[in-house]
Amino acid sequence: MKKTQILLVWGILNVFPSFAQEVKQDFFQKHPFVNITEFGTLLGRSKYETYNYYYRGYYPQPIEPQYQIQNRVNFALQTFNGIYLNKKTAVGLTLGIDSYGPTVLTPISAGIRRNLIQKKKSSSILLGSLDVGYATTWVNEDNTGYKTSGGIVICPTIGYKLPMRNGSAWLINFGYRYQRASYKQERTSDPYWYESNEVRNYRRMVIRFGIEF
Amino acid sequence: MKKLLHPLVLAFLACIHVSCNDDCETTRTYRTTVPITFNIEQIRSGISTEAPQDLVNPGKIYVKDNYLFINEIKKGIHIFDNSNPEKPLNISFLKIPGVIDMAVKENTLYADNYIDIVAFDISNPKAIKETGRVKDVFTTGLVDGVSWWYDAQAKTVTDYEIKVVTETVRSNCGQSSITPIYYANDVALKANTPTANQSSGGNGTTTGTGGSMARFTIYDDYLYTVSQSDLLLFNIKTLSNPLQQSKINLGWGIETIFPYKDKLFIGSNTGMYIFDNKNPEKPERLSTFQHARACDPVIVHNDIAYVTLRSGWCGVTPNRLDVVNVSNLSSPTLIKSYDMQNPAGLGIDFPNLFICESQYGLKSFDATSASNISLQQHIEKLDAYDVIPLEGKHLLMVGKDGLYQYDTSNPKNLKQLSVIPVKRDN
Repeated sequence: MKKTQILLVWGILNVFPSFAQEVKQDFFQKHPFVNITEFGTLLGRSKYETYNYYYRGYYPQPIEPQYQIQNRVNFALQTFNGIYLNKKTAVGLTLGIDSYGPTVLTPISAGIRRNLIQKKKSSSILLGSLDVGYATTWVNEDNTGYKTSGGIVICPTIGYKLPMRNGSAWLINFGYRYQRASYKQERTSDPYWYESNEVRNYRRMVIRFGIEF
Repeated sequence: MKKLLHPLVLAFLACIHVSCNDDCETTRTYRTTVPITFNIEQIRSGISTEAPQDLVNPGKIYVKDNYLFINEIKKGIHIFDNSNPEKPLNISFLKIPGVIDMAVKENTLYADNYIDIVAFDISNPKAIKETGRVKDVFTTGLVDGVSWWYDAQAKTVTDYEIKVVTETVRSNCGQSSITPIYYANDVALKANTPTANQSSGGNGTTTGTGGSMARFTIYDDYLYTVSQSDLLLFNIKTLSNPLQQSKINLGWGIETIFPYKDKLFIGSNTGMYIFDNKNPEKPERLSTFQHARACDPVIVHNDIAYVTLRSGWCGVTPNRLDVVNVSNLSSPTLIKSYDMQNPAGLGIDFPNLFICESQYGLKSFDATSASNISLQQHIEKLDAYDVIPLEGKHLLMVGKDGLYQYDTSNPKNLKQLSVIPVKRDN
């Protein structure tokens, strides 16, 4: 009795991995793995109040705020790892690194890539993509007394996929990227300055170049 | 290919439509000043006697006989009956817009009312009457790091109220750091603490005792006041009706006035003026000498000056007590320096020296020998800013949390008599 039990357990231990291996192989034959690695820029502008603000505490007359505009160009890197659900659609996880000046965010998103239009085989493809996720601050370093937190990120893009003969492809994508973050200063012991919290909504145009294989 | 372009164009248009503008808002909380403008009539008619009130932001302290006058900065004066120091009685609140300083002679209280000096009959502290007024004496004033100014043409006074402000501004998304607003106005980096100090100002019993931070002092029949730049002399022979007598320009940055023997010590930012006051009607300048730091309290006893220096907004001076021989006023010599923790106000009831160590408490020293001052007692766990030793082994001490009274008959073991608490919002 005891022997049969041991045999049964041994049998299960042996059969399952091989079975799992087969399932895995089957699955990846049906749904090939895909990696899309891209780098690019985040373009935008920023409109903010200037120094005039500081004199409000002094002049008895009201002071209209004055704004200043600055262009922003930042660097972004991302890698999408996923599988093709069918010939046209791939889903996966997108891991990125975005630098917004001194702030470096590491967004993790769920991503979808879909070939929208392809006129004939091996010609260029119009590719649509969408990433939705949350930015972490794993690689960010804060100034003393400040804390950066990430927030949601939404990034729809559209672009071309230019297939190569070996099955890989070049990519160029254009789109929009919304990223939320906050930069909070902890309460200080300074008698004249207590705390501040900057809520950031980055709204950028994104241009990315990459490769799919 | 042409067809493929259309979606791209659409994507660009979409981006322009939602606009690729970073939108960052900073909500910040800080202490600053908010300007308020009064017209002169409001100021002059704003005086009244009211029911007793709690201390909120006490300023200078003045003691006269059994009465204790505590300035509520720019709001009025709290009057306490202190005949029983164990149980000071809050009698009334005299509302005076812009009051910073006060001095009492007999039954007359002199106080500033922004630009004017007003005399009050305080024989009945519950119904104080205005008896005289000298108009347009001051044009600017500075207290607690905040200055006010008078616009003679518009006949308005612009003052500033310290407030904690929370507001939201559109900021630039961390591209430059969010700078604290230290310079929003005249707010110096100064702790919001009461000021009072002992002085040898009283002559006899007719006048009271103020502090070395005082800008008002009474000597003989004259009330001396210092504005930012001048020494102003008022004749108070008729107590109820002060008359402006003379004005001596001293240059900018005058801070305090305190009399010692027949001399007047006037402290300024840059140094100390010593006036010979033998003829009180016409003080004469004897000398000027460089003061270690103008904003540090100094007391003088038996030709020995005790000066506390501390680190902080006054500059990067070491925390210490300097004992200086001032028998020759033109060349003071240092006797010895003692290390301290964070000394502020000090007072002497010879041979006992009391030094406030701010957050470190109150210390009592034996100063019999200037070259060997020894610690007798250290009262910890309270905030001590300034002291006034009174006759009869009685000590008044002010800190952030209130006004404490001590029995000092045993300087090694001060006995707390009472506390008048300060009610602060934050």
